[in-house]
Amino acid sequence: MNRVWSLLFLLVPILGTLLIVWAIFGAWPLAGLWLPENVNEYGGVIDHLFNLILWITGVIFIGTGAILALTMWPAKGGSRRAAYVHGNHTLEIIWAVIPAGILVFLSIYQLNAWAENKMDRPVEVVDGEERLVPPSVRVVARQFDWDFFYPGPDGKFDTVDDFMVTGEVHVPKNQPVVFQIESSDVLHSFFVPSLRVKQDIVPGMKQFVWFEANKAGRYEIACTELCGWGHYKMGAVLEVQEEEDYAVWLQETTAKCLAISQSFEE
Amino acid sequence: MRYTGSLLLTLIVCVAGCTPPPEFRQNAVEVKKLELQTLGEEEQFAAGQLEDIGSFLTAAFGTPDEPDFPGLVEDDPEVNLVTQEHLVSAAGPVASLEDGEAQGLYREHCVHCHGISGDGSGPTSAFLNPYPRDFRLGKFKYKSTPLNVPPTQEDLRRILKNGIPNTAMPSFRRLPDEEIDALVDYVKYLTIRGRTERDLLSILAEDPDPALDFIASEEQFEAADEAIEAAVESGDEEPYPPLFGPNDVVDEVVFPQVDQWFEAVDSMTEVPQRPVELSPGHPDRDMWIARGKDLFFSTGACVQCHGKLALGDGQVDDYDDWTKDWMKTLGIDPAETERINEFVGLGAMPPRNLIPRNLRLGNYRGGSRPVDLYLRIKNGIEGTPMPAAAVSLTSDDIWSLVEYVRQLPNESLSQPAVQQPVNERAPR
Amino acid sequence: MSSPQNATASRWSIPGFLGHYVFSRDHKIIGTQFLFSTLIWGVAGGLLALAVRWQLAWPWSDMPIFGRLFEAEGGQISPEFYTMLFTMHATIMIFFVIIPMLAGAFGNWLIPLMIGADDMAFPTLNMLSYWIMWPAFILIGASFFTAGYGPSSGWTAYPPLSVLDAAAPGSGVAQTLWILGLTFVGISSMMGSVNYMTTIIQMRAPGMTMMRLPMTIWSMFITAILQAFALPVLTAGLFMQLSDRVFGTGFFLPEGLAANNGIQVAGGGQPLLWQHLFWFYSHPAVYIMILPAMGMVSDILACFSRKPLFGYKPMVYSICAIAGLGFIVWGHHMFISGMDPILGVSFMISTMLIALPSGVKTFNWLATLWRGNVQFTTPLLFSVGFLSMFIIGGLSGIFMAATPVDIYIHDTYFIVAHFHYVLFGGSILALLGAIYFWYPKMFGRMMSERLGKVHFFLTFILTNMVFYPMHILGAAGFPRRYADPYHFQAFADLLPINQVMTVSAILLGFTQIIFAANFVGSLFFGKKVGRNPWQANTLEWAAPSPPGHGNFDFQPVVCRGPYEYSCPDADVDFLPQAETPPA
Repeated sequence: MNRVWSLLFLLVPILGTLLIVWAIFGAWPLAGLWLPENVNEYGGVIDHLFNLILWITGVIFIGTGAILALTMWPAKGGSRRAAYVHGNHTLEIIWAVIPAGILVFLSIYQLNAWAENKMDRPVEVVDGEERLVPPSVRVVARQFDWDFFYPGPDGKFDTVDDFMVTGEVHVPKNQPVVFQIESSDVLHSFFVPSLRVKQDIVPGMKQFVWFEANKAGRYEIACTELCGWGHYKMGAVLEVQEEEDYAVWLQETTAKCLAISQSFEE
Repeated sequence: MRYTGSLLLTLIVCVAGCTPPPEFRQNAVEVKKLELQTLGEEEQFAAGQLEDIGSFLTAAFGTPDEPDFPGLVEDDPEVNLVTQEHLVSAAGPVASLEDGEAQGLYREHCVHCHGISGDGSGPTSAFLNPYPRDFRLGKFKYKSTPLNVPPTQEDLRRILKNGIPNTAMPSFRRLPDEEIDALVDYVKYLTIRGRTERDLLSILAEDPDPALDFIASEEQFEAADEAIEAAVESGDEEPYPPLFGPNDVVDEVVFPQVDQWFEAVDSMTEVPQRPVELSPGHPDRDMWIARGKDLFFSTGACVQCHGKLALGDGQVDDYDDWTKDWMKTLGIDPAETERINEFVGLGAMPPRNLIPRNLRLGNYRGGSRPVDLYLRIKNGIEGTPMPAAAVSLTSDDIWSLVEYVRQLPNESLSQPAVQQPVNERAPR
Repeated sequence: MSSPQNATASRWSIPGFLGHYVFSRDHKIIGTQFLFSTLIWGVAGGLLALAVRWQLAWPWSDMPIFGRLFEAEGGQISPEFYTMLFTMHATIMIFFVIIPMLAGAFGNWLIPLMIGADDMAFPTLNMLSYWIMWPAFILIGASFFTAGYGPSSGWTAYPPLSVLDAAAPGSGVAQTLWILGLTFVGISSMMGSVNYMTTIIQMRAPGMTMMRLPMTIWSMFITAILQAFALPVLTAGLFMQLSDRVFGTGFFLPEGLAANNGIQVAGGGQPLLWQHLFWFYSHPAVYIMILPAMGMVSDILACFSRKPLFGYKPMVYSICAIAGLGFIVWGHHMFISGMDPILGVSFMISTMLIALPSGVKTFNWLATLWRGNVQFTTPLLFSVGFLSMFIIGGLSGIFMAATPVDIYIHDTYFIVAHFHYVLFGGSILALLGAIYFWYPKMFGRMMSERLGKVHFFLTFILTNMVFYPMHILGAAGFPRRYADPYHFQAFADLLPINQVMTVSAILLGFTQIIFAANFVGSLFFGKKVGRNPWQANTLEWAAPSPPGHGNFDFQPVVCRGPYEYSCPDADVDFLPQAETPPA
């Protein structure tokens, strides 16, 4: 009977690993239940780190799980006298130093990815001079929608030819894109799962997110900081387009949003 | 042990299983209003009268789970204002999404605010400012048609796609077009049902024994629908054959509304060309905008409500038509909490002053296109104190106003101070 | 101390039933009061969790019980009701269940008994620390009946959502009640913490040196220190939020906010300030919720593997290290909050460091079981269950500590999985184990082992079925606190797995009926036990079961450490810390 308990604890790493592996391969019924395909040039490192940590923790998970089950395996013929051991310094130093090494390695290894995604805004060269890529869209989050402000034909914000699209934003493929994100009421968070981009939006602060999408398609933006009863409704579409398609869309949308006559079809 | 478990299970099954299917709520505010206004003190509708209206509405429009629409013709969307297919996918309980075909769209996306009857008093509504729309008055604010004309299909579609900025109405752009159309149809359905109920109540209030045939069974409606279909198939000129005699309710009350909705597209307001002087970059633009500013303070009278700084801080003690509909009609003072509470108890929203729009926010409820602003000024906003433009205002005047208003958000007064971001440092 | 009964008798000023069982100053009665209160709140918190799960599995369908109790439209709950559900679930579980059960119930019961004292250092303060919870119970309970059915800005209460009345349905009166309620919880915790520290330092029995204290007491001691130093910051934050709400100050509000068509606020404040203050308390609070559980598990594991705890001193040092580091890692809740990303790097490093002592503890527990003579009792099973779940919760923490990975998984179900593995799989399983273990000491009767094992088996399996798939949801990007995520194309596929989780959660809820029946039934029909039914070493087992006022009927003199099991010199496999005089 007591062996059942040992097996029960052994099941945790076995089924746990199996479920994760199953989800990674996306076989029925767990299709589509793992990281969505990454389409951001800067997002690859995040996936890489995720997988690296998954491997490291996976090995520890299985290892400790197996040891736990083994220690729980009842002795033959019922009770035995337990070992009278108070500790072992060598052992304890080993299992303090090895994880410490792994953690230090992880800490240092990830620094660049963090800097690339949160600290060093992409740079472009204009007229032989380096400058930060200026924001191409101003994203204003409000309860419970996303307003995307475009600078309009003159390329400058806060001019009369700015226009706004609610709930949908288009960006060109293979170009570093910077969004300036703001909030007009409470905290929100700009999250695009497929781009591995997430940034809380703090009212009163001017913040930026950037990415370089490398695959055309429609992706979803979700709010991931509780912003009220309609938090779950707060989604928008991010469409990545080939450069030519994007130009056409931008032109059409500009015309539509600055329309000065009634149209019968949208 | 065993008994505790099964007892609890029974309890849960019972509590869950005994839920009656949802029903449309009676327009109790309207009933009370008419009783006080038309019937006079101490008078009441006879229970039988209200029952008649109820059973007529159920026979004609079905229930929230099984909606119906008078005179629906199968397979011919041209003659139908709403289609059965759309109604079915919009109505009913939220169905499992596994089969791909969405069902219960209204109850998934809309009902929390707009309520099961489209009366704008869903559970969330009390916390919203402005209140969600009560469709039953048949008034819509943001449309391309003049006052007292229903919006076009495109107007409603645009509202659903763009949402209404700075209200709780979100954008439903991520829904497939088919689902948006289904919801648009359901909104029309709720509107016409709600107005029909109001109209019938008024008729009854004025004439306790009207010559209308209220009593109609489901079978009669089915027979009528078949008759219409047959008429359409045989190429009959008359799309709505008389159903239950000349004075029939459907003919008298429902179909005129349907016609209005159909004809809305023909009465769309014409927007004349914007003067070329107002296009961005034109040297005379500033002069024209100055003219707009003048109008804002003078003939346009915008300043009265929107305030000198256009922050929406002018006159702020007015109400919208949905509140006035009972409060002003009955001459109730907002301070009379007892009488107000009586109506709130019946389902009315607690009266709340209408705040004129702050024009410096950069987004506009009815849409941000210049043409949207033109329409708002030209036609006014139905159901609110925002009036249609005075006849003396020419289209050039209105365009000047539009452009004046559009540049307000870019003035430095409109920009709140922001802290500098940490990631705008110079490149390393 | 020759006649402890008489020594304490003078302290009982309120006579009769009221003085003995209600306004009692006996630490054991107070502990029991805490235990019963928290168990009852646990039922409420659990029901709220089930309601959350129901909505996630069958969105907008008729919710049993809750859909009927509260206003529902077309038989469905409303979205603001959902935000209330998860806010109150977290608030109740953290502040009314886990913290007061660990510190209040077990802290009270075990500290004097395990150090050989006759009561707490300040019995009246101790009594107040329980009764001051009642204003909190009432305030939080009352908030259910206010507009919006309760606070709905999450248990983290981030401003501006929590400060602007118009921003959320629950941000009116309910939020004010919530702040006041939490203030009372804080006062209670502070009273307890002062008492525990003083008692442990001052009232140990002769021979009970600090390094002979059982792990339970060490962890309670460190927890008390954590509370004493972290709570003032939360209290300050709560008062700032209260003043923002009530007096219109602007600690947390920037200028120009326009929520729900509401008025513009004068501003000048910074929402991130609240997050710093809140997490400066609430990260240590995470350790307040896990350290005592770790301590109790250490004692139970040593007792039932009949083996000395492996590496007693390293275990003590790692608890201290966790507590120390716990004060400088709060920023890892804020990696993507808009805080300076450079600051994120330093918090990342301190967070990585804290994995170290946790790892040491885990390996030491495994080594304690290794080559032990494992007795498969219910408390042991729950403790090993704790260990197994804590490993998962700890490992998933490494994902979050890695800042770039946190960009993706922050505020997704991965986080939900992580803290439920630590708090449910960890703290709650440990608490259940502790109840089974100390029940005979508390009530003088055994709980049914047979029912206990069934309870453990089902709880363990169902816990994993509810919480393990959350990792997968998180990896798919499923955001937290969504009432209905399925209208996003990206999350539509996640409905079936959520339904499996909800069914498991409901079954997990029903499983606790077994526990409730066992708990209540054993009060009356459990097998009566002597002083030391588990043959354990620590001092509390030398006292009668249940101990009378004054606890010990003799003066315990401690002559060895708490974990002298299976000593080759002894005839039996345990050597109690203090010898009981022959009856």
